[in-house]
Amino acid sequence: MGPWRGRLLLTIAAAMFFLGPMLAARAAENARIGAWEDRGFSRDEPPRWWRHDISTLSEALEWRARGFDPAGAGAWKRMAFVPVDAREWTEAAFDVRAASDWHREAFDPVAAGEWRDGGFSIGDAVAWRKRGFGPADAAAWRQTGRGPLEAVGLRGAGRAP
Amino acid sequence: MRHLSLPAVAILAAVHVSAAPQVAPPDGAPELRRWTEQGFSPADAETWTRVGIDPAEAREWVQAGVPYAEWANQFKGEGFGPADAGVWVEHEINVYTAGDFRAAGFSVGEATAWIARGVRSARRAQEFRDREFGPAEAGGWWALGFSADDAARWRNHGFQAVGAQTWKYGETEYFYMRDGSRNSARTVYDVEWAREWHAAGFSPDEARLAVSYDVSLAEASAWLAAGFAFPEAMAWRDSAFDPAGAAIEKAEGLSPVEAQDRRRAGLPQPTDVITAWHSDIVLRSDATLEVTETIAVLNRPGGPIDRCFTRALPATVALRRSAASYTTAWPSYDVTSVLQDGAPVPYSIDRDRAGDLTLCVGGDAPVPAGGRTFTLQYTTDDRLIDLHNHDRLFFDVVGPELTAHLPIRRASAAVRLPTGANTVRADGFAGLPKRKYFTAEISETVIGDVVHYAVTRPLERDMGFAVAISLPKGFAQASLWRQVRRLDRAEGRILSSVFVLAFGQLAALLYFLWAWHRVGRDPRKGAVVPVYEPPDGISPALMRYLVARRRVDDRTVAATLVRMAHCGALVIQEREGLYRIQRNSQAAHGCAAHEAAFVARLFAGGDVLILGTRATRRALRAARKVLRANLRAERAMLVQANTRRLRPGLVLSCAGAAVALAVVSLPDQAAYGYALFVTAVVAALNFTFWRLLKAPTPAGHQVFQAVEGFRQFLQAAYGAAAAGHDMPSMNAVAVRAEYLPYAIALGADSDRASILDRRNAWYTGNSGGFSVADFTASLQRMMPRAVPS
Repeated sequence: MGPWRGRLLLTIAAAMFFLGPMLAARAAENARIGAWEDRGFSRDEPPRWWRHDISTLSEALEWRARGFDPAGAGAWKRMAFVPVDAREWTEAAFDVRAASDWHREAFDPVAAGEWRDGGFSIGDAVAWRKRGFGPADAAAWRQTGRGPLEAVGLRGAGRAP
Repeated sequence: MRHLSLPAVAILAAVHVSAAPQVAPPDGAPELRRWTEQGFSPADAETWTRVGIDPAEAREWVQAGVPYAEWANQFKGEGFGPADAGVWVEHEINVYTAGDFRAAGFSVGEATAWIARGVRSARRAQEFRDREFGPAEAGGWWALGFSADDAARWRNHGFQAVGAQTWKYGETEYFYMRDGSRNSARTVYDVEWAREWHAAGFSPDEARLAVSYDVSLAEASAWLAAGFAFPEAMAWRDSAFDPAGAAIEKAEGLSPVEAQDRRRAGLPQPTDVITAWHSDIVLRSDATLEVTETIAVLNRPGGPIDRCFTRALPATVALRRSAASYTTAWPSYDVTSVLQDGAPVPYSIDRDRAGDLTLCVGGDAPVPAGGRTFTLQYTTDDRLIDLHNHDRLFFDVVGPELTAHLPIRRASAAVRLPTGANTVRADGFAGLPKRKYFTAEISETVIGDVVHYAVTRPLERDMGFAVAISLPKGFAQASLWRQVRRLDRAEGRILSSVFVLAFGQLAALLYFLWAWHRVGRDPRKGAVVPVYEPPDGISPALMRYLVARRRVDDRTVAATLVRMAHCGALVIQEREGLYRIQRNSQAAHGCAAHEAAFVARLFAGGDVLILGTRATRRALRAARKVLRANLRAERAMLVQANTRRLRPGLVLSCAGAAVALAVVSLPDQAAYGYALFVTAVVAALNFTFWRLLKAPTPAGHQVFQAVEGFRQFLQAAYGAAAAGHDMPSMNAVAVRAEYLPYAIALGADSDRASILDRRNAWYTGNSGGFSVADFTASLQRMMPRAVPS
């Protein structure tokens, strides 16, 4: 084998070293996109879902079924929400930041909505809740000018707001 | 239809076009004029013509509010004319919905009413209508998830929709799956049950509580009739009063607890009692609990507290997610301090087969009578339930196993949460199962929330006290080590057992490796040089036994028979492929004792054997056993077993296995499987080193070397003969004749040489010479497959 022929073969081999895996990866990605297209995603959508850390088709379907686009779903997922809960929080008119604040204090969307609509901050809601008050009770006691500590004492004594 | 090439799309389009109805366009001036007279453009005219509607009818459709040909065609398909359709269109009802409702006999007004109430399916509306529901009423039921059948059933039992829903469904519990989905479960109650309790005057909550308290409707009604509201009735009932008795006590102004105390005071023999129980529970950030129990006991003579005060620490506990569901946990305990009246006191901890611990305070000395205070301090774990948006701490302060023999007059607990953790909910149970006779008060301290529980009634037989506190996630998290230990406990300590087993086997392995290094290694082989004579005292059979993995097979027997023939003890005769072996009367010379023993056993039944007969087969089998036993004994003089070195390793590995089996606590089936596995591991290790520890003695090593050298010589000698040329400078034929038994034993290619050797005095035959291959094959047919001894 002559030197030029050898160099040519070496060049082809080097090119194949990169091209082979690249082509295989492209083929795999195309097949994967095809599977997503079968479930109604457009061809440019799967990479957008993947960029937001939603890599499986079933997970994307869960988010899409609840009305989330890739960016929205990614934001909720980053804060550790599952699709069904994220939907409930959005239905209760919470954005992802507010939802995660309320969620961190173990409020569910309905309760959080009631406390917020009653004009309570998270801290106030926590203070009233830990003493066994619901949003309506707490609001009633607050209207009388009582705080949670005072209210719990009065309630223990059988008083109503 | 993805990834279709352009030609494919074109073909599909063509097919689609060809499949469409072939309608002639409104060609010609008169036809077109008819359409334009009705106010249609040529393009519109074409669409109307395509669906088969003429200009006059098209005009009617348009005037009825259906301006599109396809839409009009859909209405026609559902059986509507332009006038009918116009009415439905006016009410904004979808063509197919309109078709369904009309087919089900609804007028457009009725259909509109049903749809407006949320019943958008004609079939559903028909079902409700058939059960005599109006749209408004049906809409209410349907919105709450009742089917027509269900709604009719509940309504016929006197319930309205909202009321029915509160009676029908219990509390919903949610379960989160790994894939991000969520499931829920709730108890569904029967309408008959609801009707009975409803009619008796109970609320849904009271009825459900009664079910969970095992109170029948008759009993609940009796309490109600005696003038007790449900919660009050349950308080009297839990204090072991019937309605009549409770009414008398209540009339005297006593509470249930006071009444019960008075009754107990009248008993002839008061028993031991715990006058006060307080648990101080600290939840650490590593999810362990530091528990300090202060127990004031009144020890009366003859009571259950005798030699020691016992505190059960169960191996398995149920952590309640709610009153209806629980998670099983396997906590550990570490008792750190036990005091009696403030001073340290001896104590012991017993573990039963189920793994439950019993702390016995006081040792063997009797607990003195009178008031005593015990202070127990221990650490435990695995009491947190991991829920979706919060953790739930559940701890059984007092279990029914304690109140079964010691009533508790007053119980309380304080639970201290980790720093920063806000209490989400302070819950629990106190009293009989599912009862809540307690108050909870939360105080906020600089180091975190403290929840103070106080039980509001004495705890009698079958009663318990548990605290359940919900707190936000992230404040208490078990370390990986504790999680592994938890898994181990949950799986019957299989991890501990495997660890002990592995440790024991590893120790045994290390010992075995040391022992093998000391005594088990074979001496270096060194260079093998051809040896022209067999080693002294090594027969062909023994030679094969040494080199062929202690095999006693057809070759061994053939070699021995030929060797004995050489020695003059036998004559081998062959006629037409049939071998006859006859024992000579003369004694054998130069043969080994085990060869003589073999022949003696072989010819025990007579002096002649014919290969192929059943008698010969039996004789061969018996003689081979004798030969194998003798060869084993001969080999033992050349190879050292080193069993003395095997024993310590065997003991180590068996001890490890025994401890591993003692540690584990598995269900029967799994335990048998695991025991089998452990046995297999121990057997494999010891068998391997039993073999490996065997090593040749120095004399044995020399024999092995000599045998190897002799084999090389024989292979060369017989290889030359097989190839047709003799060895140089040697009386090759004589040598081959003498060493033929060894050649047979060591697998040299001796067939041709033996056939050509006409000087064999011990052989007669008419097939042109003694064929080793033929003779060996004849023997092989008579012997079962040889296995290493």
